[in-house]
Amino acid sequence: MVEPSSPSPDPDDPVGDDLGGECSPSHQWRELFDELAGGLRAFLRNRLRQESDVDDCLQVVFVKMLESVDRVAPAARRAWVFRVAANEAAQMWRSEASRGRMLEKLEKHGDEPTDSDDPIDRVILTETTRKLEESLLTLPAAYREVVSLRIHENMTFQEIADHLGIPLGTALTRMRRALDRLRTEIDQNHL
Amino acid sequence: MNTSETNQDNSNDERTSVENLCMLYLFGELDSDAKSRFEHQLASDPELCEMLSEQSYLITSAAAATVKRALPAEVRRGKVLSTSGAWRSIAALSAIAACIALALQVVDYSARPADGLALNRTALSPEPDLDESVLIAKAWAASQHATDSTRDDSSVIDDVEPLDDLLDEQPSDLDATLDWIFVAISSGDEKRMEEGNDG
Repeated sequence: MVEPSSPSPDPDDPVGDDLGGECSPSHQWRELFDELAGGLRAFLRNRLRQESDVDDCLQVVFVKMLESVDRVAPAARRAWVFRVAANEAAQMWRSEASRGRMLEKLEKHGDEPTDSDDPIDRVILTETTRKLEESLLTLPAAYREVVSLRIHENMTFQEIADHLGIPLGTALTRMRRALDRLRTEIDQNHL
Repeated sequence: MNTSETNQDNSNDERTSVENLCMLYLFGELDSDAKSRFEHQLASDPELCEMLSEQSYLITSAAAATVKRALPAEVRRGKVLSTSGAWRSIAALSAIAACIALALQVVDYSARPADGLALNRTALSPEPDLDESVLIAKAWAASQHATDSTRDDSSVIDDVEPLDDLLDEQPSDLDATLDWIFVAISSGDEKRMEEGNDG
């Protein structure tokens, strides 16, 4: 299978988004995919036994990236890509699906669980998000500020440190502790 | 501090360091060399893979959990601020326009003679109580007179009386309801008589 590292613009794109210049979201995703292709491949090789499965998984990840162009905050896109890759690898590992079955499944159920149209899934997702949000709200404001600045303002940790007048290590620590709190919440509630 | 505690601290430090590395990688903050080293290690280190997977899950969860509190992108990037700025600009321009209109009005007011008629003429007050039919009739009569006479147009223009003078000459007992044509005829006759006297 051809590695989707440098896909050409989609001529069928109805809104011309792919032709809309280097700042279009889909272009940003493509650049991101090219940037992460090496890391993704290394990551997936650790989880899948066959190189062809790695290629298939990369293909699926790329398709899902394009399907989710505007749904993910720019700062969280790398993390999102690896999460999708991990989910897809886990699914492939569990089912040991062939390439054909894998792609067939993608055609039938292209969205990952978080994008489900199933109302029950949406309720569960909403409830999970609410719990995580509540958990983050129990953090000191200084920690939440770092999370918000990093994820939603897309500031680097160095910029955050400069902005808040704190050492870089402190900014990293606050982010890490916020994520630790989420991890605890997820573990305790089996989210 | 015993050996086991020291080992645990070192282990924690190492974990913290690796977590930081994963975070920086997932946020795209590693330089190219560090990124290459990290990816090379990723291919051969299942624990690092697990940690990266966990961090990616936590970061996306954090993004989802904080998205409601995040300001829309256009607000963060100042579009709303610029919109309110536009409103402020419009308000400022309106204020300037109002000031200019007021200044012009003051200039107009001060340039007029201080008679009772001028005092009544402001931009906000209506014109004085003029009888339009009288004015039209006098103008018509003047033009008739000019047509009848042998003088050229420039003399006609020279003879045109100022509007205020016309108003001053308006007979007080003139019935404003008279048909304007009768007024015109009588005014024309007056002019002719004056010319006859002058001649």
